[in-house]
Amino acid sequence: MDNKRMHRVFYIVSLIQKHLDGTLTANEQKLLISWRDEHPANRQLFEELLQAKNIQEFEASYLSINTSRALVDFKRRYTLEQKSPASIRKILIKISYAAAVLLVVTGATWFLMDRQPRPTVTTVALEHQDIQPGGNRATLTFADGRTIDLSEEQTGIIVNGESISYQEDDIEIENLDAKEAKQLRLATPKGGMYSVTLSDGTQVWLNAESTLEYPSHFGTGVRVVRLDGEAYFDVAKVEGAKRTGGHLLQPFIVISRGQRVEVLGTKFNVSVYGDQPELKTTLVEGSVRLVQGENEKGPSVILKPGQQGIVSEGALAIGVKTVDTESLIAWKDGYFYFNNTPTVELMKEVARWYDVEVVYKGKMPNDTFSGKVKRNTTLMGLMEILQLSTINVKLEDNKLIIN
Amino acid sequence: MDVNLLHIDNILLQRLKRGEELAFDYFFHRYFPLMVTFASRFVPNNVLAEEIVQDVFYKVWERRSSFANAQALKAFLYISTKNASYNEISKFQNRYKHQEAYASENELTEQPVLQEIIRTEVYASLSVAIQTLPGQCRKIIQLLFEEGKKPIEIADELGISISTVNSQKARGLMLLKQLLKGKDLDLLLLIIFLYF
Repeated sequence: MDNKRMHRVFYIVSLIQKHLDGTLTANEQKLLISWRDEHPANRQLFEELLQAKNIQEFEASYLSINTSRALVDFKRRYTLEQKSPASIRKILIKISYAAAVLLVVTGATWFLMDRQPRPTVTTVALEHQDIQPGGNRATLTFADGRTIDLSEEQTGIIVNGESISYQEDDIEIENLDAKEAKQLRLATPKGGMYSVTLSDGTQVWLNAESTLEYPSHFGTGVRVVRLDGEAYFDVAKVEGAKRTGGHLLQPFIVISRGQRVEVLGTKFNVSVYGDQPELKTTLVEGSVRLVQGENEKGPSVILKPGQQGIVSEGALAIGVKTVDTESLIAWKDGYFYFNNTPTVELMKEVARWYDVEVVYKGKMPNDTFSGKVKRNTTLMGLMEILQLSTINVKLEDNKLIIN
Repeated sequence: MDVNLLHIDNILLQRLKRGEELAFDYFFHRYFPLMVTFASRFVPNNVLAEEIVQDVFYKVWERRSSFANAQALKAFLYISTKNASYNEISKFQNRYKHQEAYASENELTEQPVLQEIIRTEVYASLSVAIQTLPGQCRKIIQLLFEEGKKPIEIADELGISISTVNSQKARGLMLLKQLLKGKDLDLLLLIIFLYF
């Protein structure tokens, strides 16, 4: 009986627990059923557990054990020697760390060792190994093809009919022709984020490795922008043409590869990264119509606050599920916020923010992580926290290796 | 197992690795009764089961630096308890061989062991009495975290105000129960940061 089998046992246990909570996904259900049908004894056990047939007997046995007395007894039998052979190892590690610092100084690469108790000297080595977090980085491309790097001191830009300026100190970046709407493109690299306030007052936060295309000012009809990557929209309500009985609100439409989101005035997050098979639209406030495909006549659903619509290529219908919106939009306020996030998803976010490559050695991890961490943490700072879960990571050059 | 309980275990494991005896006591309180219950499925009486598990815990202390995470430690507990139980049974079997008083070895194949682990884990998670962290464990956590980081450092790292940190700390371990239900992520992080 090895660790691998134990790992599977713990996994089956988690599936049974989820089954009892009613939170199994369709895929997990399949796995649980295949385990149950593997052996007649499994089926018998499964049925016993579902009915909790012998739980009272189990509980009685557990509670009858006097642990405090047993611990006193244990300490009488055994002395917990602090200076175990491990201390020699510690000295060796200290020496190797000192060597590491030397190696770093001489410009040689040093691979970070696994998690050992770290003497102070290691921080020196760690700093050389560390990777700084992303920041306010973006480029702005004009209709004539010119591209400029936006200031890292600023967090966003504001577009009004006549000019583009920085959000914080109002410095003008470009003068615009008020008569003619020009197409503009804001793009963030890996490790960058930026916000833009559009001419109608709508504010858009662009996450790393994303692109937003928008006009310098909107006309009187629908307001259309194109998105690739991830962005959070706070759409301003705009009154359009006058009709009997009042004004019609002017729709705001976000088109991405494979889907369109139509809204009037609301807050929502759209995540349509190329490396994700699913396009995810999460509604925070108000209501949106989510359409599969770029044509407005495609199949659609209306999302309510707290819901996420999922469009996946080839799927017949749009999936809708209830999600924790706070964790999904925390990025715009500068946080990683994971809530039972699968490790693989989490690592995609890490790769985009720190501009590193994530490499899996062996099996893909199937565990999840929960926690909230500031995005201005260095990569090693984040990894220290992640290592509290079952994730085992190390950094080699610009590669994050997951074992 | 509750994912947040596993977080607490992982934090305590780091302290066990540093050789802190209190952290060892934590794991003892946390898993000793579970392992004895598990062992008693194989060996004929509880006294023997307790002895077996005490030996296993000494091995945990000896190998404390080798556990990658709390789940690995738990796997080690199960595997070692099962192996030690089997050794005891075979001693019995040899002693009484001529009487053929004990069942054949074939009964002790791996399959039932894995099922026994699943039963133990699922029942432990279903039992409210067991899921509530034993009082001793909570006391130990309190002791271990008292000399943690300064509130200002935690506040800075978490991006929350110092008064929040202080009031959280004052509410302290009273909230641990809620935390363990996964309802209070910030407090979990607070404990993580208290540790670092």
